[in-house]
Amino acid sequence: MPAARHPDPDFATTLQHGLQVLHCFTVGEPALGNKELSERTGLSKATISRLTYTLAARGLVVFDAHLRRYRLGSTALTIGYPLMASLRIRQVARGRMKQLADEVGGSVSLGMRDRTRMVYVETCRGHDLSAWRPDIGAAVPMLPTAMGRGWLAHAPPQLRDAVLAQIEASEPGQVRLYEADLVRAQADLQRKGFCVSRGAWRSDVQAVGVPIRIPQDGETLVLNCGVLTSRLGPRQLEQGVGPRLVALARSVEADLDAAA
Amino acid sequence: MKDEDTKDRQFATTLASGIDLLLCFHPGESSLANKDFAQRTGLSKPTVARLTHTLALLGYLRRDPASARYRLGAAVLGLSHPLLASMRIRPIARPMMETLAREIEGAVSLGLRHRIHMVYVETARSSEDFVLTPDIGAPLPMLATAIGRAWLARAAPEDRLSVLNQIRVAAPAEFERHAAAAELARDELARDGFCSARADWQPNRHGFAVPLHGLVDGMQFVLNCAVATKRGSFAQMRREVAPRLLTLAHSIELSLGLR
Repeated sequence: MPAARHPDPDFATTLQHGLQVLHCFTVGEPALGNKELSERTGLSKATISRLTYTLAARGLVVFDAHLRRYRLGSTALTIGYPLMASLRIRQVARGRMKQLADEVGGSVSLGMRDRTRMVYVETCRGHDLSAWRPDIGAAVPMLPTAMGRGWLAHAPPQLRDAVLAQIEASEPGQVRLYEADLVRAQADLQRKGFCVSRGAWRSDVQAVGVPIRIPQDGETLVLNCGVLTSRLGPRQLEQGVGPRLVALARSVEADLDAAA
Repeated sequence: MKDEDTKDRQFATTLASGIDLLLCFHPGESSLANKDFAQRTGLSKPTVARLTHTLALLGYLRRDPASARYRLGAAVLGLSHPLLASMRIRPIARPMMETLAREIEGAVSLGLRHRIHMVYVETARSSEDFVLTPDIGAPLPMLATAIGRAWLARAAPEDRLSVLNQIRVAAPAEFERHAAAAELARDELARDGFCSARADWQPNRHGFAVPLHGLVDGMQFVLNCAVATKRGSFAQMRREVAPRLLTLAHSIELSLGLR
């Protein structure tokens, strides 16, 4: 596939390949050599060595001489900062998010859409589970999560359909699989102000999602609150966690309005 | 685009130019037009248009159809995530940092060097006063801050000289104003085990910093804390707060097997 010409003549394939190399680095595999990068991307070793050489010149990867492999470099940390800085809502909401996370013993996060997924731009933990650590920059799919459902249920129909079409194109069958959940999410959002997901993403976590009604940096951001199923009482998600996240969202909106 | 880049056959110019476009954004600047990118990078407008088109398709830029301007897309945040999430020091240090932040009624952060800046990888804040504490990923000056001084004071002589030279060229005003204090910080580190900045960077805060003993996954981390000047005199904070930061550093080093 990588050898094939991209159908769009204005598409800069080398740029895409370079960014593809960066996405090979994961939490589980933070250090990779040229050979491994070549295997994972399907690009030749000669191409990979040009790409890693260039990425290193920009500080996006560094060569770990001890491991004889590349790691992500410090430019990867700072490149997104101007975006974070333009989301003033993070500072407005942070204290309240932490408070709710502590009160329910879960995680409260704020996410922004990246094409067909939601990316966390702020997250607060009220628990100490090492296996469940949402972090800034982490991406989750839209259809199974309360955050993604909150975005889809709130989006104007034309935009929602465009995003659903993109999801369908990359993962055929997904949209139909979650059709009933989406219908329910829209009804829930209208009636209660929040959407839910019960274990559809992480089987041990239930979550609610609430869209922020005032666009931030041109986008609709969504708040979520996830709690381990084992820590939830019966009906606590609908009657306790959901309404509190709605109240949090409305109070943040009021402060954003007042500051505008 | 730097001149030497284009002469190097190993260099993938299109990739470097695309990255340079993403690096054009300054904090506080939410959108740029193709002509802004062209001005800042020296690339031709057709080249810029092709790169912004590609970056938008990949989620790194978002195009506003009405204004034809570009904002950064959420995909840029995905680049930092594997790096942050694979730092084993963060989950170990985080709870201890939160405890200290509460005790000193300030902010406690963990950072590393990014070229001529320091950048936080974790930060714990105690109170509303510190809501605006620099965020994870924000570039901070080195010479005016305790955290930057501590990095310089701990660095091998050739690394320190190289970074100081880069600062002298890129930020002459910062160099002029703070180079002497940064030099004194070396004696302070040798004598007391920490470096301080007396309301040098932000006028209402004192900062203290301790470089960790040894590298973690090849990286030199520095711990710092900030306290509001209204809490007490610099001398008092230096006496009361800085030693607790040293204790924190020691506990983290023990947990990581660095001692």
